[in-house]
Amino acid sequence: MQRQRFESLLRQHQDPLHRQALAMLGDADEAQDVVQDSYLKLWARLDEVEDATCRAWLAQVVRNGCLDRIRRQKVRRTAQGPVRSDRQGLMLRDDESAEATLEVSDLGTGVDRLHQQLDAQRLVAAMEELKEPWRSIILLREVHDLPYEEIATRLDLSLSAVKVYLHRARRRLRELFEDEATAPARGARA
Amino acid sequence: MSIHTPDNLRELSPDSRCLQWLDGIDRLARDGEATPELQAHLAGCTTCAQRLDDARFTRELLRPLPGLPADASARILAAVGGDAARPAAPRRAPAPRRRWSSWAAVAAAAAAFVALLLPAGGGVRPPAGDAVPVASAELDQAARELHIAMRVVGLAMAQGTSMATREMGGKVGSAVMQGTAKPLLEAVPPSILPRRAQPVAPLDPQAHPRG
Repeated sequence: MQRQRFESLLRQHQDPLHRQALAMLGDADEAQDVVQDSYLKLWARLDEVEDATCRAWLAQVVRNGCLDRIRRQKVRRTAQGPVRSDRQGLMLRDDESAEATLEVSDLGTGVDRLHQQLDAQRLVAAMEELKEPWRSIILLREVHDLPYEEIATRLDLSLSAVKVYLHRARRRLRELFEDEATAPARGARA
Repeated sequence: MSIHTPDNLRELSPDSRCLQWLDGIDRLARDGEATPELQAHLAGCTTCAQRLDDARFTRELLRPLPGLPADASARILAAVGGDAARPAAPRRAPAPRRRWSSWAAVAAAAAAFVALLLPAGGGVRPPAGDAVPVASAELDQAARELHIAMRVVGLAMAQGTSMATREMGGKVGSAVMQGTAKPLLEAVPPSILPRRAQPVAPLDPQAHPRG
């Protein structure tokens, strides 16, 4: 019985949760790990989580999981040294390859594939620059379609703050994305 | 919910000019629906027109991100197993124990300690027919150790619920139950022992006739 309910919740929410994790982490494997961990937590607490709030609950667990990984990544990056850029402007470290971040196969097929990959890389880089709670507001609204009230509750903000921050965050994300697109190289960015 | 202070109101104010239109702009970017009033406002407000453009841009930017691959979804289902494999919901943190319960446990343990140390058959209650009870050396020692144990417990109670005293009381109780209290009690600093308790004079069987 609970297994059926769990499967249904998995089907309903897995894709936006993965998009959220991917936008925050930029790494398909890590995003999958975070989503899997979140569902395992849901499985353990299935009796406590109601269907109506499950999406927001999972989104918050994914957000926390991503923030935790981002913190750890920052520590690792600091320890590993500066970032270099490859010919395509993708952000790489010396021990990384493009496959370690977004995979081409994740982004559909066709002639736009490379552009999509580059856009996704820039999106992730821009998201990385976006401050909290702006980043979470954008993802909860645009990816999860959560109502303003739910976002306000989850992030402990006022309703009007969520509305205003959402528009500011969109503006800032766009600026960052366009900066990423025009930046000649990111070698100087550590 | 956070409360608006003058500071964050000031922070919000530059974007708050058209606050009433934000919902409509958001809806227009998502569903393409706009009221005539909003359309009229957008025609004359560059700020809101920019907001609409940003909202559409952001949605378009996030749309191509892929969903969870099927194999990852299957891995999750395999990892959780069936209903029978579902772990019990994590228990909420237990409420703080009432203070008396740990002391009562230690006191009970101390009482058990006496019973454990006493010879089988009972050294306290004389065998039927004996007119004179025999206070053995073991009983003397047991009495002394019980005295010390109760002193430790009393001290812990007097000092409140600090972790150190609780742990001490717990150690004494555990040791008593395991029959390993003697070294522990011997290590109790003499300063906390009652003066009259050291040494405990052996009982003189002749001086306390019963019967």
